[in-house]
Amino acid sequence: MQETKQLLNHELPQQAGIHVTAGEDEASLRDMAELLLDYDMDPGERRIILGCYWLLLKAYRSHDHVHHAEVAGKAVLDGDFLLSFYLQFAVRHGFVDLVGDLARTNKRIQIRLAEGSRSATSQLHQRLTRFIAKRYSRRYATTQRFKQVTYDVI
Amino acid sequence: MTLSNDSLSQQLNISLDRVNRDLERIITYDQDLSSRSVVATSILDLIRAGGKRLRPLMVIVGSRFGESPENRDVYKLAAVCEFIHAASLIHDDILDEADTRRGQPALHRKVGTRTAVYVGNYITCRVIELLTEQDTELENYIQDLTSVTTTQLCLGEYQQMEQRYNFNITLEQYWEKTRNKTALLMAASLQAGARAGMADPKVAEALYQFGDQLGMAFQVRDDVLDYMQTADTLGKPAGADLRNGQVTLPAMIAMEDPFVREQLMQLTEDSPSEAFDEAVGLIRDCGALAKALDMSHEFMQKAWNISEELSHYCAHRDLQTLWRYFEERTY
Repeated sequence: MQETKQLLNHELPQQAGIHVTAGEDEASLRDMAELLLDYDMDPGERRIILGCYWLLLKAYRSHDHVHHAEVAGKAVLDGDFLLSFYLQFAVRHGFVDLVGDLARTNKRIQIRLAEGSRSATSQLHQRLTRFIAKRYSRRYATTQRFKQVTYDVI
Repeated sequence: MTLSNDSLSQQLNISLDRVNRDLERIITYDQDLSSRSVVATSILDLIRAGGKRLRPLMVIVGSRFGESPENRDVYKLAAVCEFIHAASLIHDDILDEADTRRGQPALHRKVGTRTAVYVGNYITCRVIELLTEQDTELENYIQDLTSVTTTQLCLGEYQQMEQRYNFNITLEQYWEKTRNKTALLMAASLQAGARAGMADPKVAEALYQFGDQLGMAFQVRDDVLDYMQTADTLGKPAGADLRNGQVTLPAMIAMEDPFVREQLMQLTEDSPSEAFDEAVGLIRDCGALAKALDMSHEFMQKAWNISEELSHYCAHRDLQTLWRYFEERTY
């Protein structure tokens, strides 16, 4: 997570004045980071996927603050910027398929939020988990299978 | 005589009805969206309120420079560019605390700020969904249209926020903000159309430059109009930009006069309305508006030169029709 945070803060343009921290999303991010460790992938890829998830959560979090009148403008702008930066970040690092895979889920989340839901980001976690499972194989497949056999015998 | 936008599309032989129909279908055919949803009704109302549709027209004109003009993907991109523009307007109105848009209450005044934000987000997400659909090859446009362009739109807004009441803004900073906020999407629209129409990459690049120059001229003209027109015409007091702390080209030029500079430098958010009235009068009367329009003309001239360089394409006439539309709107 620390490396991903450094990467994001390095790539975010200074003009936006956004500094990425885990904040209220710490648990979701840690959960995703641990999930990513279960899969056989390059550490760089792990950072990009976690970075995309981080940017999206932060964008949603920012737009969730628009009801505070005194910060509404900045909250709108930061959320917009993070959403578009997520696309730029994903595409720049070769993850167009992730953008495509999450497109419909992101859209559905916006519909639910517009219609009054307070939070809908669990859908994002689920969809991203499916994307990872589809694209990568598990690192400890043998161990998992061994455990399953053991349970079956017991 | 000024061309209306209907006559612009007619001169370009482009059906605005088809463009509008495509826009509506993208919303009504979304299986995830109920027809009664506030998202659907809000967006359909916006589409039906009209608009110039300049960006879709630019996409279609751009495609005419290629071997495969006006194909299905071109019309899809035309809609995408209009939707990117629409989403940015919804959020801009929130940032600017605008009350109206196209003569109607701004969306956030109708449905509340929170909902309006998500309606704008929905549009952006729907655009991504369209670009990544399996039966198209539009993925390549994500980088050009949605990520780079919208990121730059936001950076333009950040720059505008940061520069409020900054009377020391440099010309370079002003051009950068103007390019990010206005010119880039016009440039990208023409270029995307050219690429989707299978145009030569060098031609696509020339069209990008044409759109950039046109967009810059357009924004400078808009900044001048803000001072020239009356409250009745604009629907807001003349010099509204200055009253919001935006130091645009006319004010920057006016400040070359030390007396005007001294007066403007005293303005703050808390200055009385009379102080702004006086400042607007000074900017109007010192010849700054004419000088700003001259600079806008320079951009227009460069755009014209690009259109001439493309004169071996029949479509260069369409480019010049677009140019005339901007020219007549401007002067």
